[in-house]
Amino acid sequence: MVNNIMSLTGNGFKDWWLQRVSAVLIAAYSLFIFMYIVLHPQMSFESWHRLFSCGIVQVATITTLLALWAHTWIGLWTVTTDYIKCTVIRALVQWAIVLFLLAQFIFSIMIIWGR
Amino acid sequence: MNKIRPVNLDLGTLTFPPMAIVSILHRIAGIVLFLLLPVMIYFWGLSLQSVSSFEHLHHLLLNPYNKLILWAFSSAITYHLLAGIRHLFMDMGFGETLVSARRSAILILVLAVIAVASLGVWIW
Repeated sequence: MVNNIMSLTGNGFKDWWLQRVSAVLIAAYSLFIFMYIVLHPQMSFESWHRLFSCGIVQVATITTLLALWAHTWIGLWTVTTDYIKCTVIRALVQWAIVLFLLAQFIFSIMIIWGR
Repeated sequence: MNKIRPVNLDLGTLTFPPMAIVSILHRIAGIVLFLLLPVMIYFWGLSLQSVSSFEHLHHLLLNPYNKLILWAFSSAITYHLLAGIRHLFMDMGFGETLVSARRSAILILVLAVIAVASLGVWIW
């Protein structure tokens, strides 16, 4: 059996499904932010700040960041598993990636809630 | 061993079909997004911290290197989205034949070139 203790769910089909669900969430959120920026040229700090003070946007942002964390983990797990053949190096790189992503997730929560 | 066996190692005859190009670019775009994500989160943090940090970000983004980073990230995310939509359609069983897969791959590449060029014009 393939050793997959470093994959997010430890199960290929669950990873596959989570990858797709998170993709749809990230796509919807990105398009929303993109449209907001396009529809507000010369945006002021006030209107940008007001957008991220809105409760729904905050919940959507945190949910998307969580989806992004899962999506990136699964994607980079696949890439590193394809190319890094040495198990020790691969495990270390995958751990580093997971911790790096976790740090960015926490930093993002500080940005949106720590003010 | 038979020394006169046929050999076909003319590398010039091996080319990537459009489907393979779409696939590897999807992966490369994903890695680029991962690498540039910290910069984008930093920019996002600056944009929300205070009026002065917002102005500071505005000033930072006038720098051509930062514009290049922004362009690379927005191009990568747009490409990754386009190729991802194609991928989801194929997961649902649409366009899986050789002919339709080639057609959709070329369509994605054309759309991506248009999108990347438009983003460049928008950013500069």
